[in-house]
Amino acid sequence: MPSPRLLLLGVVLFGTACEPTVTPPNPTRMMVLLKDPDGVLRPNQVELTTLTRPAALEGTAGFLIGGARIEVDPSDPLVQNARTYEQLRDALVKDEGRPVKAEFFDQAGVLWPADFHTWNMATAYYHLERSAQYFRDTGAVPESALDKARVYYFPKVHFHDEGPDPMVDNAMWYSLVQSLFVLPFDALQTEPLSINAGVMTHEFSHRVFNRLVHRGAPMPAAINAWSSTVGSTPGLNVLDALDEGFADFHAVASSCRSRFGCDTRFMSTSFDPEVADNRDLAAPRCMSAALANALYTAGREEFGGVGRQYAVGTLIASALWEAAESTGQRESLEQALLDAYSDENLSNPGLAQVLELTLPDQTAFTLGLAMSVVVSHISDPTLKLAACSSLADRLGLQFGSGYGQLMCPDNAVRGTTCEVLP
Amino acid sequence: MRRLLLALCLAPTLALAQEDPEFIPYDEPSYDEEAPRREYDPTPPPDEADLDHPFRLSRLDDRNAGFAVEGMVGLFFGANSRSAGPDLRLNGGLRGTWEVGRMIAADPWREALLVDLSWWASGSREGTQTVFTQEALHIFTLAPAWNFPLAPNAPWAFFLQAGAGIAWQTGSVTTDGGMVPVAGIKPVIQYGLGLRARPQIGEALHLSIRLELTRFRRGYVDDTWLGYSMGLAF
Repeated sequence: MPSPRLLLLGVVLFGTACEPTVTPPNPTRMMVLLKDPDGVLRPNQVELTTLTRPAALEGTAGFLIGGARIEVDPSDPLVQNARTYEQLRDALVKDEGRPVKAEFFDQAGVLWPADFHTWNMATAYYHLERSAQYFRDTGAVPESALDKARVYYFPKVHFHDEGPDPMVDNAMWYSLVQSLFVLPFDALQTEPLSINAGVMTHEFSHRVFNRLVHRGAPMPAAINAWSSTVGSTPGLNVLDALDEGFADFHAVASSCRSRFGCDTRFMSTSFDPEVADNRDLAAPRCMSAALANALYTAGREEFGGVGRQYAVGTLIASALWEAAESTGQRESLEQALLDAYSDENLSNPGLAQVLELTLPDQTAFTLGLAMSVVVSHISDPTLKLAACSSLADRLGLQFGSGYGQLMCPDNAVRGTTCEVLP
Repeated sequence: MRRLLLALCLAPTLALAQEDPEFIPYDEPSYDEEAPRREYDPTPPPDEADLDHPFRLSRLDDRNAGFAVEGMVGLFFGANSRSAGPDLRLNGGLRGTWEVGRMIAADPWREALLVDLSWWASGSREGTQTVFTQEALHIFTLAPAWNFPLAPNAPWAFFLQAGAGIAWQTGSVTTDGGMVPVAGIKPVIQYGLGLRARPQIGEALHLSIRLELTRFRRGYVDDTWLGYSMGLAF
């Protein structure tokens, strides 16, 4: 029989084998990988205020799930026979995965990640918390749009109609399962996407867009209705571009609250310089005739297959950024943009309401109309004029209240960066 | 009848009341001094445990001092922080064994109880080309084990083991800002099972061979080790 002392030793050892816990709002001090003011990525100590289970990286801001498998296969009988959203979700998510089990060393009350993926995941959670706080501070965003974000970390995600292999080297918001994906890296051998603050805020912004503009629908009504159209899908193309552009704008705006400061090239640390250049909000860029033509004449697959939604989105974001910087009213513009997502005021409807109005005819949902909704939610006259000027200039929009035109105050003046499109 | 019963009751008393009887000598037998004979030795036989080791019968069969040193190799199924199956890596180590049961005379203890002092080491690198971690994991444990021979005089024995120790991890995280060391220690609980053999290769030298499955509760994560070890017992 083991002696009582041995049994006591066993109990003590098991006691030390418990994972760390914390009760918010008590902060968790943790090391994560952040850009210093000099732009260099280094381990930095932060305080996380929303974590409840540090080892599972679970808290009120979100939770990370590992080992999941999602198969998006249109030929799957389970997908074809799904009649409810829950059935469709179950058909897509073949393996729900498990909570992650981050490994830390407790060094004088500070949790140090013990392995690479824990560094990645801890930093991703920090960015989640910061993103939620950015939206919380910026506008009247309901908590339901900000809390408990589910993040599938390094899931196996296979879109069967896009090729034989699971997707890698990407991060995305996937509305059908109402989750963020941080996919495994392969060719990307620089800064992992999970520790790129801009990328994480960009994806979190898609979640907020879904919750506010699409009212949290896994399959938004506009996308469901408009994607079944044969031929051109102008409304859907505009909607996709808005989603990407607003996400870029929020990603950069959120970075202004970081110790590094505003980062208009947040893609540069993770992607090729060409990609970063193409998405740089500070770079002067204009709508080309070809891109404008594709926006209104191409089908969704044709338009998005080559990433045109990002090109138009960057034009939108850079125009907003230009207006914000030129007036020094970035925070007012952030708030106005979020206000424009959903507004039940019939005399000044938000995008959610305009989408419902235009649902029968997607050609009515133009870039000019969408930008007019944003402009109409800017209260400061100077900022409104600046936004009108930049949007009209960069997006090639005409002032006016006609089809596809940008509704601005009468004294609005078009910018001079870009040529007027025919 | 009454007289007979009275005589039987009084006989012992009458016998004790008599004086010592007269000694009647017997003839002394004469025997040959060289002839074999058995003599009664009133000294109690010694307990085997009280004897010095050179005279123990069990030690005549197995002259080992009761120590062994083994090299270990195996597959380390480390805890995976992203919950995507085990983090598989090769590892190795060294183990010193003290067959502490030899200190105890009773047979089940002598061959059954041993204590291992073990060290496992493994390393890994994870990450991208510019952001990555490197780590070396050392696990030190002290763990008693109990052998169950598969059959009487069988060369192989099944064993169960449980113990405790520490896990010491050293390493670093590297970013474009340079390398930052990361290290820490965690408590470890070890438990497992396996097969052990000690084939004799010399008068006081044996091979010591094991196949085993061991689990580690390292802090709040679990690792599994499937391994093989071989060494010398002396």
